[in-house]
Amino acid sequence: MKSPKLRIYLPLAILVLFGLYTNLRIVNKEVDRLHGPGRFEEAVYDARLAPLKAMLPPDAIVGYVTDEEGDVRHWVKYFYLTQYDLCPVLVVRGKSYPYVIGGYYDIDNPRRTDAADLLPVKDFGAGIELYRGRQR
Amino acid sequence: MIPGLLLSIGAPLALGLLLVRMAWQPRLTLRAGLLQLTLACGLGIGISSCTFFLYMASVQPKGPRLALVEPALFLCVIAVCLAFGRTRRSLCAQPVAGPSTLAPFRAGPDTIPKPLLIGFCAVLACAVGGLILVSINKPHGGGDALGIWNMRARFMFRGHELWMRGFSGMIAWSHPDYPLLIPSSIARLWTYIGFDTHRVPQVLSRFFTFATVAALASSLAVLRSVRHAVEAALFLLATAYFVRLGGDQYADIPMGFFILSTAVLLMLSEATAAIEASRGLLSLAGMTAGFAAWTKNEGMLFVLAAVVALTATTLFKRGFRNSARTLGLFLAGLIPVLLVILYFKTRYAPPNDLFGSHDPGPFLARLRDSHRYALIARAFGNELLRWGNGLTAVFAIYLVARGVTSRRPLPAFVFASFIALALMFMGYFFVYVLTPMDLSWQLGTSLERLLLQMWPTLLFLLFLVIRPAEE
Repeated sequence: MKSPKLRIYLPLAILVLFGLYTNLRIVNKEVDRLHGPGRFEEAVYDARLAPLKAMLPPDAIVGYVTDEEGDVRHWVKYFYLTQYDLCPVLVVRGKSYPYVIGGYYDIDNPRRTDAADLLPVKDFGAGIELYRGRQR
Repeated sequence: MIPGLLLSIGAPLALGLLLVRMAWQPRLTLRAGLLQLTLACGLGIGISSCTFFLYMASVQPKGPRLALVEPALFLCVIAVCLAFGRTRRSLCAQPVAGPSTLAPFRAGPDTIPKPLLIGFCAVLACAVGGLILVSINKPHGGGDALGIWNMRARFMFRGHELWMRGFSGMIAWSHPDYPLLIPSSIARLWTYIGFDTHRVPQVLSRFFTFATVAALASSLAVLRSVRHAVEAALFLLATAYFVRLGGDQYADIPMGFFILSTAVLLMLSEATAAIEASRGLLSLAGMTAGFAAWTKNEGMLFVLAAVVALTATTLFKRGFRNSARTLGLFLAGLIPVLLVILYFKTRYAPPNDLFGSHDPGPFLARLRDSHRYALIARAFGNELLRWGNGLTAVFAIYLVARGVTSRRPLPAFVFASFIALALMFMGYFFVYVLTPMDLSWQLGTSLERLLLQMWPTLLFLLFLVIRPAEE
């Protein structure tokens, strides 16, 4: 780069274009997600959990079962969301608790083997169910 | 809600501004004002998160309301500070234009070419848009925000007498030993406004994201030139991962902010001609280093690296007496925050999942395993090469075209900050060597975030030594 002007402006031009490209990629991806099928799914989930939260005492410890057949990140996200929404109730994986929450990825699949020995109490929709656990 | 919100933001901001103004009284310009405001906000958030945690640990839930206790406490501290004639004199002092070690590094005329300014505004607008869209799609934040920071905040806000359940071993997956600057700040704001809206963590995360950009740009504008400031800010905004994590509400962004603030305050303390001011700035640097440790566990590594680097550099460049004085002032700001962290770690936090085991056998076996070193070195190398999806190449072109300044000597604290970052880098390497978790998984899920914590400070240091366009 022999020309001083080129030496100064070329790297800056590359930097500005690079900055625009990377940020527009984020914008593009997020706009796609905004119009995709999963939009507002967290808000829907929060709303479904509200009546469940009202049923549980704040000092409760409840179990959590899931089908785990879907994407791992997906069920982890909904497990986190369940704990986040139900605070200060403690949500623990397993079913050795008086109450157990079922959080299912595959909503239409009735074959919920994890919950086979649990007594259903209420279905809240969106793959959320409350059961009575083994420990009464 | 609005009076509560104003009170919750106004009181710590006033205290932060007072501390910054007591330490540093520059000629009032837009850049100096922006830097002071940014640093004051960071200090205000850090201090108020500590007071909220101590409030929860002592008087909550049966004690007096936070909205009565905390503003009164902050106003008392401000009144006591202002009662001293020395404080009032330092606040009213004329800006000192004496010799400064960084004066030779002030670079060229302070003008920005119009195309560069337009380009910067366009990238900034895209980054703001991207961050807001990420927030809309993930209202509760990404995995860590949801499972760690915001959830702990909910336990603190909703828990009342059960708030300590947030540190229960039954939810060990959520790392209950992690420090509380972010959860405490969120829960504090929720307490003031009376309900736990997801807007609060979103706004806090956006603040830290753009405060990092503002701190980087304004400090370089003060210490070097507006042109350096804009170019460095462009590099940070062009780092897509930085913008994305800001939207995802990860604590690595605030951690990066506090590391950067520490480096900036150290550099300002060296740049200022007035000895009184440099004392205050060194103590504030200690405090922001402490807030880095109060944000994430990795901050402890930064504190250790900063203390070692400061001691070594000042000892080598200025002798024992000066080194002891510098370290003493730095520790004066750091120790109060460390005491809060110590109280949290000993009273509430369960053992850390990485270093909780008392059996040295597996620890030593991992230390001796050469495959781990090779895997980690390869992961570090790959991450650096593909940093920012190609930003490394853009930076290399920029550096070759611009070159490094020939003005010498470099200020001692530039060396100290570089050494601190290098020590952190090495520290992270050995944390990976020793981790009991699956190494590939841990590298894949955390390395990029750890490097991002250091990125704003690295940019700041590099732009302190990069040659001005006019040279």
